[in-house]
Amino acid sequence: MNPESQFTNRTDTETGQQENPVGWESMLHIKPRQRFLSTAQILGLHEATLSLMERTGFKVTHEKAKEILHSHGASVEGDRIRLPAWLVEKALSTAPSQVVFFDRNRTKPVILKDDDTWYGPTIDAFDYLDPETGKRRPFTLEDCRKTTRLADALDNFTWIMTIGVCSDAPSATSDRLIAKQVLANSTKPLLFCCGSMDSMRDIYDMGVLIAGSEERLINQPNIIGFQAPISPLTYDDALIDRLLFAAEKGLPQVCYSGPQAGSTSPATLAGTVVQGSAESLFGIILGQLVNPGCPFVYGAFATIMDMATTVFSYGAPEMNIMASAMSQLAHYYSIPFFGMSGCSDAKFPDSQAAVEATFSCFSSSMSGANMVHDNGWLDHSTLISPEYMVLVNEVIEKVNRYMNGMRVDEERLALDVIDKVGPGGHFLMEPHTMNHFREVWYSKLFDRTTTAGWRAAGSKQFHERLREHTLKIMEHEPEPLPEEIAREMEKMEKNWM
Amino acid sequence: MTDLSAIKDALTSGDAESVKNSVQEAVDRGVDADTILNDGLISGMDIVGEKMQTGEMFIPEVLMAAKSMSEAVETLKPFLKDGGRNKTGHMVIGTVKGDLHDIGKNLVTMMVESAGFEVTDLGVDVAPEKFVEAVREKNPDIVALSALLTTTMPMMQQTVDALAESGVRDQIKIIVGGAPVTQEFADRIGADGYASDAGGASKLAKSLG
Repeated sequence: MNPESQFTNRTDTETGQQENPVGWESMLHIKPRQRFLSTAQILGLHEATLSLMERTGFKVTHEKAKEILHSHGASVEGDRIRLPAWLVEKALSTAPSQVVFFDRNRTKPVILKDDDTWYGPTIDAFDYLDPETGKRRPFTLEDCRKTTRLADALDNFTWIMTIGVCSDAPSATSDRLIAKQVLANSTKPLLFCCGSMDSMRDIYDMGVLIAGSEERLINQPNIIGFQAPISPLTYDDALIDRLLFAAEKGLPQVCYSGPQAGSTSPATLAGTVVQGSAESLFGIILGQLVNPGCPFVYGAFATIMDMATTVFSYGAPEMNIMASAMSQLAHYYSIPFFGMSGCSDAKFPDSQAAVEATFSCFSSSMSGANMVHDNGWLDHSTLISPEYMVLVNEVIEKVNRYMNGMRVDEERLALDVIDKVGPGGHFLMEPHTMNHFREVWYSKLFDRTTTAGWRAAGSKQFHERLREHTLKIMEHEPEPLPEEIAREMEKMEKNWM
Repeated sequence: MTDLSAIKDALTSGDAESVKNSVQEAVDRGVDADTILNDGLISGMDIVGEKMQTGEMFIPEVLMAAKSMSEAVETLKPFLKDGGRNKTGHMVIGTVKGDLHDIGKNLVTMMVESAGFEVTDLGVDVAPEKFVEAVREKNPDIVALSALLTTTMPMMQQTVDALAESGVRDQIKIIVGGAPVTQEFADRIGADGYASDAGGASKLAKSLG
């Protein structure tokens, strides 16, 4: 064999040219991917969902919504709305397969499509686990400022939520106050949650103010609505008002129920998936009927009720099974999927919390969930911990590295450098090593030092390093709102009182 | 005070070509070759060592810096007072008998060389009597023993004993290292020093040499 050309024995002898001898093109970039359901299972779940919507239907008391649904062919009997299969499939066909939103400056789009996964924090935590004192206490507007700034600093949180419910603000306006706090302290796109239509309009108006015009807000939205129907199968009036408002405007929104297997949905996973899917689809269909093409994100927080404690679990493996199944259904419907990860039933950012976060982040990415929330949430949705946010951010980074797979091409197969070094040598001084060693991921948190090095650095255990690292990141100063806009928002706030 | 920061900067960026150029430029400016070596190259490598400790530089970059330093020393040699013979010290290194692993030993060799040492590398599977012979011939300051296997660690003890029995023990410092080796083990077998990684070995050599 000619050492100059290691592929000589596979080459067309006439030309002496090697043409892609082992099919490089098809091997270029291998990325892991999980197919949770078979095609037959997807169709089975879809058929069951259609059947549920036609047979059992939904409870709706909103008169305008009833009229819209009725005029498009739904059966309306009192408050019970049933949708024929043809109406469901027709309405879903106009829902966009790709949903895009932006940061405050409209330079960093989040593009929900295909298998791409974008992680973000959470909403409505009651308590705050203070990294300075280690103590748990009610979440305040100031904690919202701190956690928002932290989320702004964490690279793997690509969008943001309102994180907590502030205990120190009047309940009628607290949803607007925290939305304002988040908009002022992070440039990342905001998925907001609110109660009344007044709140919805006021938050929308802040979005228009920041965008500069309503047209720009709709074309390049930096705020996204969130609607949570009540399981089982109930759409309340306030939710429908908000949903119709966003749908008519064309503002992206997430339609996301929370079926709890065994209490607000069947104890079986397949039944809970079908119910959760129907609950999300119903809102999307209503939106498509009033404004075909308006953007939605589909999903349900399907988990189990812990029958020993009644807890709605944020760490159950069944939660990840159902999310993976629904993510695949979302791909079947060509609508982006809203998932959950980086959350735990643990009370501290401890080993249990780390295990549960790793499991759910890995599962979310592997199943191609698109917009994944709840990262940093502890104690089944009651507690936000900056340290846990930082830990989960690192978990996401590790998962993202894994999901990026490996490239297999001539340069990376490296046969030339292997041949150059030969048996018994080493690769440390090769230019090939210099060119590629930085492709390896290095963690800012997870320890790989030698024992001696670890001792020299103060013998710190993980939780100590995590706390120090968190406090350092919390010094981050976000880009402030332009002064005029900040002043205008202060004026707006006065009108909410 | 002569400004040799260009040499140090070139070293910390691991760019062999610009190390060579900046050394040449200093020679052309009439800077004394020994000053270039000590205040430019060697103190530049000290910075490289620190950057490795803090995680700012990675091993391949450190080795590139080390390599560009030795190349620069070659060009300086004719101008050095003693022709470059006066090294920081001399180390004999080898992986002990029965052990064929050499990546750790090679790393230590490169790091110690970059600290200005002359290193005689005896290779792998080196019997105790070979170490004794090398000490007699080369008259080193330091003998460094490497082992990766727990099964070859006892051979480190035998090598230390052989050096003692042959009467050369007092002329040298013995340092040991390798994945299973610890400070406690080093103390037990009567070695003079232990380091847990190549950067540490280089520091250790400088403190003993």
